[in-house]
Order: sequence, then C-alpha cells, then structure tokens
Amino acid sequence: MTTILTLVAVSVGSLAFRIVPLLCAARLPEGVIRTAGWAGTSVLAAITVRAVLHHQDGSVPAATLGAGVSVGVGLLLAVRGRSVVTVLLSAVGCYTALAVLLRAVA
Amino acid sequence: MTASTLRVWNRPAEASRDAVLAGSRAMAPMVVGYIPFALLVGAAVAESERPLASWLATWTIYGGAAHLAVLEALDSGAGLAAGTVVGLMINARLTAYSAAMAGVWRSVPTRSRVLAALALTDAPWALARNGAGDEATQRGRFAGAALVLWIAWPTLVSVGVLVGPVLGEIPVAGLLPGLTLGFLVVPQLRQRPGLVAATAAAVAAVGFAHLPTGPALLASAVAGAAGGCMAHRWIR
Repeated sequence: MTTILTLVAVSVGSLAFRIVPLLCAARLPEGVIRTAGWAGTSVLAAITVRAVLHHQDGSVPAATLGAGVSVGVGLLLAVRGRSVVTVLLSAVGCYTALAVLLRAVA
Repeated sequence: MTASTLRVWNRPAEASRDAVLAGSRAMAPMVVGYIPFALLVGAAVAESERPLASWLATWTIYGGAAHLAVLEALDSGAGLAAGTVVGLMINARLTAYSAAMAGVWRSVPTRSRVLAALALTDAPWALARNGAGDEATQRGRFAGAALVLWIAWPTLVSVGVLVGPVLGEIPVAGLLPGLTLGFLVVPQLRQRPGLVAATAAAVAAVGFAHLPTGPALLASAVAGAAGGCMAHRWIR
C-alpha cells in the first residue's frame, strides 16, 4: 500500500508543479517568468554536470575524466551547430577511445 | 493531430501544423538519448513491489529521474513521506518550466494550458524555448515535441519492463540523457544572462555534487536564476 500511496502523492505533486504556474499565467509578473526561464536553463545545465560527476565505470580508471572530456567534445560540437545525433555519437566514440587509452596507460 | 486539437493552440491550422511538425522533427532524434535511461526505469518498474502501479506512474510522474528515485527509495525501505519527498524534490524543477512558459501560454484557453502542462518535461520545454518565432509558433513547437516524447517515453519504459536495462549496463549510455539536455542548453548560452545562469548552475552543481539529486538541482536552479538576474540587470 505504501508504494501506491507514494506513487499517487508524487504524481499529484508533480501535476501541481506542472499545472499551477500555467493556470496562474495571467497573474505572473514578467520578472518571475524571466527568472523562471533562467532557473529552468540552470537545471538542465546542472543535470548535465551531474551526469559527468556521478558517472561510474569500474572498467576504466579515471572514468569521470573520460566522461567530462566526452561530454565536453559533444557540447563543443553542439556549439558548432551539429545535430543531436552527431553530438551523441561523437561523445560515445570519444568515451570509447578514451577508455581504451586510459586502460592502456593504467 | 486533429484540426480541433490544432485550433486549441489558438492559431490557424496550417501554421500550427508547420510548428507542430517542426517540434516533432526536432524531438524525434533526441529520443535516442533517452533510450538507455528509459530501459533502466522500465527495469526498476518491473522489479518494484507493485509493477502495474509503478508502470502507470510513468504517465503521471512523467520524469525518469523522479520515477526511478522513488522506486529505489521504496525498494530500500523508505516510507510514504520519505519516498514522496525524494520524488517531489526532483520534479520541483517543473515549476520553473511551467512558470517560464506562462508568457507564451497566457493568451490560450485553460484547457490548452492544462494539456500543455500534462506533457511538460525537460526536453520539450527547452526545444520550445530555443526556437525563434511568435508565441503561437512556440506553442506549436512545444506541442509537437511534447507529443513525440509523450508517446516515446512510456513506450520505451514499457520495453524496459519487458527486456530489462539492456543498454543501461553499458556505462557510457548513462551520459546520454545528460548530454541530450546539455545540447538543449547550448542555444541559451548565446545570450549573456543565459550564459551566466548556466555557468553559475554548473559551478553550483559541482559544489553540491555530494547532495541527493533533488536538493542539488534546486540549489543549482537558485544559483543560476540569481546569476541570470544579475546579468540581466547589468546589461540594462
């Protein structure tokens, strides 16, 4: 029962997070809307950084370093206007190559 | 998407269709980045104490990180309060997305805003924000992107329920959802407040790396929003 109640509570809360600001859209000041936009962008940036920092790969020494470089390469390609598929494949390729290199160095 | 659905976005059907298609086309390749994570969530759903309820929550929680964190918390013996707090802390970011959309959506009927809210999550929000065009175009682009993910995410989670975390066991796959969202941040960096906000959030994410996901994201959001505000005032 705890599982169902918890899932319902999180679902209702998540729905409220999504709906309430949009329902109150007419009353939200421009400053709040603008700041919320930066907060949203910040969350996405933080998720990307945490993906690197919490990366785990027991088969590669200094896996976080490899993850950071690979994501950095991907983002650099994104800045240069490459497609998301190119960005993802490049990061995977880069990580794979670095993994081989780091294993050889270790 | 039917003509009546298109009309609720408050735009002539043809123009709305173009924006919706543009959003769908932009979202479709990004789904690739979500595949390993969706399979991982699906595997957790299959292993949970109540698989059917957990699977149905795919549509209602509609956020992989929160869904997975709740299932893991429950699996480790957390109670109602702890499990709820874990999930809500992670999904609290949706408030920022929803509030940021308010300017573009305030002129449409309530039922359109409710529909948009139901499908609101990271990638469609960022895609709609990044593109150019008037408010109706942004709404159409969001609708297209949200529709693709609304179909793809539960489908992939369902596949994960059946096959398990096949790709999730490849370590590099864990980087793909984060990189996909990072890809969506890049256009925001062309404006100074966006650049300052993202940089401040990245620094905060490093500083708060030891915290659980929910509090760390909230702290990063506060840091980034403060940075964006300061940069905005400085430019003016």
